[in-house]
Amino acid sequence: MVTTALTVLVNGLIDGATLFLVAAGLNLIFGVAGVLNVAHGSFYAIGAFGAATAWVLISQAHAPPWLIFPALGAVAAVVGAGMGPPVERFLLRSTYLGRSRVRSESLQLLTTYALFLMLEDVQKLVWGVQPYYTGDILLLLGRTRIGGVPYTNYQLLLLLVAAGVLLGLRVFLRRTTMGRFVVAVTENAEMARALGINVGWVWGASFSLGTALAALGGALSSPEIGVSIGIGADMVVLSFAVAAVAGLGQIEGAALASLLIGVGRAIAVFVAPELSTVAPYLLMLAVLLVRPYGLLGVPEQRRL
Amino acid sequence: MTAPLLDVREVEVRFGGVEALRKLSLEVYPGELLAVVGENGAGKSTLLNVCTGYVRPHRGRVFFEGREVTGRPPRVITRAGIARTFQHPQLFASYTVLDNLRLAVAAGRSFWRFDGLEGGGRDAEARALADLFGLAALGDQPVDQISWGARKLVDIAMGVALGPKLLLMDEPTSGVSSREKFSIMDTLVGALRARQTTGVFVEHDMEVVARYADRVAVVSEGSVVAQGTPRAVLGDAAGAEVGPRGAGHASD
Amino acid sequence: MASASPLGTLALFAALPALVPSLVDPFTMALSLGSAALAVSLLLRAGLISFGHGLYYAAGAYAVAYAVRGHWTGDAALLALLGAGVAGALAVLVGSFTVRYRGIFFAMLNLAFSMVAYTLLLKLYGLTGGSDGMAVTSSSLLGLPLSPAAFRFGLFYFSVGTVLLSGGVVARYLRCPPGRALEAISSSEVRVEYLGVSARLVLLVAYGLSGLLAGLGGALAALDVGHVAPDLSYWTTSSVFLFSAILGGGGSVPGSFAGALVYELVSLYGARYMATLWNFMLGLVILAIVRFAPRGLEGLYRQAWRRPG
Repeated sequence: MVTTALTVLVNGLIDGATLFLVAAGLNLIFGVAGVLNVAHGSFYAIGAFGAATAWVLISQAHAPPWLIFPALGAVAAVVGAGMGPPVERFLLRSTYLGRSRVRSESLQLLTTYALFLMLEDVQKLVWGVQPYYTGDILLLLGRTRIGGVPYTNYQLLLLLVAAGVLLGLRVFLRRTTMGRFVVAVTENAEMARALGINVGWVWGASFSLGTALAALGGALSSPEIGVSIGIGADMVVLSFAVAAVAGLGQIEGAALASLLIGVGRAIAVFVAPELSTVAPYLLMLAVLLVRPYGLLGVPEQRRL
Repeated sequence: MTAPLLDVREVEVRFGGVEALRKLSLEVYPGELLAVVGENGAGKSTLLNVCTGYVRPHRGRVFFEGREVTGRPPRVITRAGIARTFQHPQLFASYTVLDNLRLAVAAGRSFWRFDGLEGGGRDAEARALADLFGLAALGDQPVDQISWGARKLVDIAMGVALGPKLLLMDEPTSGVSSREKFSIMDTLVGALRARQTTGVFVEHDMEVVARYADRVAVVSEGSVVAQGTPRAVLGDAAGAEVGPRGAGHASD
Repeated sequence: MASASPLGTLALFAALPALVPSLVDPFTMALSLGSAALAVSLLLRAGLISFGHGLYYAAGAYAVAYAVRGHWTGDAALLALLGAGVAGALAVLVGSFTVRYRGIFFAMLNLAFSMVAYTLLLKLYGLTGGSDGMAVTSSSLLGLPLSPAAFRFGLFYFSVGTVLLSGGVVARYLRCPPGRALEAISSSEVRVEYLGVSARLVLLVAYGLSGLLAGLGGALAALDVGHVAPDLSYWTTSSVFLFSAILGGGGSVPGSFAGALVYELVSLYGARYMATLWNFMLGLVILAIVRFAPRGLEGLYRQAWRRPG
């Protein structure tokens, strides 16, 4: 009984790790720039495809397999730094301010939705419709037994990376000067601008970082899933569910929510496998019914 | 002594670490026009927000017509008979002046009807209000294209359209020229008197206060520090200028 | 006066398949799509964007399929009504939760619900036929048994009739306080509450009506195609509704149908050439419309017909 519970917990943790990376990126962008990028999940998929391609290239060139690890990081960095700035600058920047808050929010929604549509077909065009299986990567680091159940060390590495990112973000935002700039922009962009902070740069950098996190999540989880069309759309919905449970803009909340949903899914796989894909949304519904703005979220109050 | 229409009892409101209202008590009597004055940040707008359900007080209670309304949402308080206007007019930007008024009229008495926005006498009433507030010429203009003063008037007219027993106005004449101020106030006071609506207005211009208010309440640092007739509170010089007003002061 | 031309266009539209029989199917589908686009348009008026109206489209379609499978009725008219009703009821249920939210929350919650439905429809093979879907056969309309060929035409004209009726109802609704309040909510929800009107209730009514319309569209599609499948609830279906609504101008009855018709015709003749990049094109056009012609086809139409002076 205990071993089962432990297994479910560990499975949930591992599952939650990827979710956290993606959701943290989403919440970071929302917290700093107030943008909810519908296409965020698409970057997850592109990260996954990129990693799959890297593996294919490494295998074909008969290069040493461990190269995949830095490659995973590189893919995330390339997506974040390569795709982030143009998207933020040319698509999103003009939607921040507008006469009416509702209209500019609608504009953002439609713009990022259009981006999502476009990126779906770009994936199809570049990588085709056949799934990529790169499960061999999982075996590279060996195995460990936890509670009698074998896990690949790769999966445990995933956990480490997620924990590292969580810690890293906390330290960055609270202890470094740059981090404090980011926090300042998050709380009051106008004030930050008046203080001489280059707000546009902070927005752009946050967007790139958030996007890179999504791509990292995709790259890291690619060996565990069949990388194919549709994973982007699935992650679009799922990452929103995590963000909704967390409370929009809450990075620490994202960790909690990812854990909850990861474990929830693991339990569902055990109890009712058919419903395991639906479990995160049932959880989201349950949380929102009790706390409409998420576990740690706060409603916006307008000053009259 | 008549019972107060609105009874605010020892209300406390805190935003973060800042105390906006400290044990504020105030009574508003039926039929009077009460001015609320005080420096910026004294808590006047917060007072209005508490009375209209936009802000929930941490302590204290608010009674309207003897019934408690503390912490009820704006919609419920409006239905109970309290309407308000805003410092920054809250209007339906894409709609014309008349459409704004028609919607307000509809909301006031017959909203769930399917005979068109103008149906059920709503159009006539909206036009009458537009005439009353001097907005007839602007009737078909979208409200985001009219002047600030006109927008303030639309805001007030929408409040009046609801037929409230009490109308709370947040700086009804702010941002308009001195000339317009008096004409707005004349129209406003006339409309309130005609409908026997009690009025409370936040005001910075002491001349306006002296001229139109039956009573004044001074708010400072979150509480009411003085109340009485304009003359008593603001001093003889201010109280000497008394404009034409109808009868019907509340007793102190 | 502006309503005269749409009716004229509708009359032309209705007459065409009688002359060019191959247009019957695409035109029926355009009406089905238009109904769903109108559903999305209604909510757009209030500033609410739904990414998941495929849920109600699928609800209407599957309701028809179940009714047929259970031999409740074979009459297309009754089936269409049933589909609309089931979807409308579902919308009121789901809406009581979703109309508490705005912006991205509203959009994504709708998406989430529709994708959950998709997953359930796909996985619960025993109940729903999984990815194979379910067949829909109907052979009578308004009590009259019809041959398959006559049925297609009958269904088309029935669709024209229902669209006329529902369009009329929606147009009237949009001219009355509960309908006018939708745009008011997007302008200043605070003001609406301070008029003593419950924004949530107003939105729930609109949401229920929009579910009904989408369900009607789904039912008509099921009857026309003769088959239902889970991808009716997939996000791609919902994106077509949203696209058509925005193309049409995002708010009016004629606009929504115009947008749907344009989409249907383009996809019919253009899908061959651009199948791989279909979503890409949709996204690109949405960006273009939002940036350069926010009022869509309706705006362009009004500009063309504006009287000088």
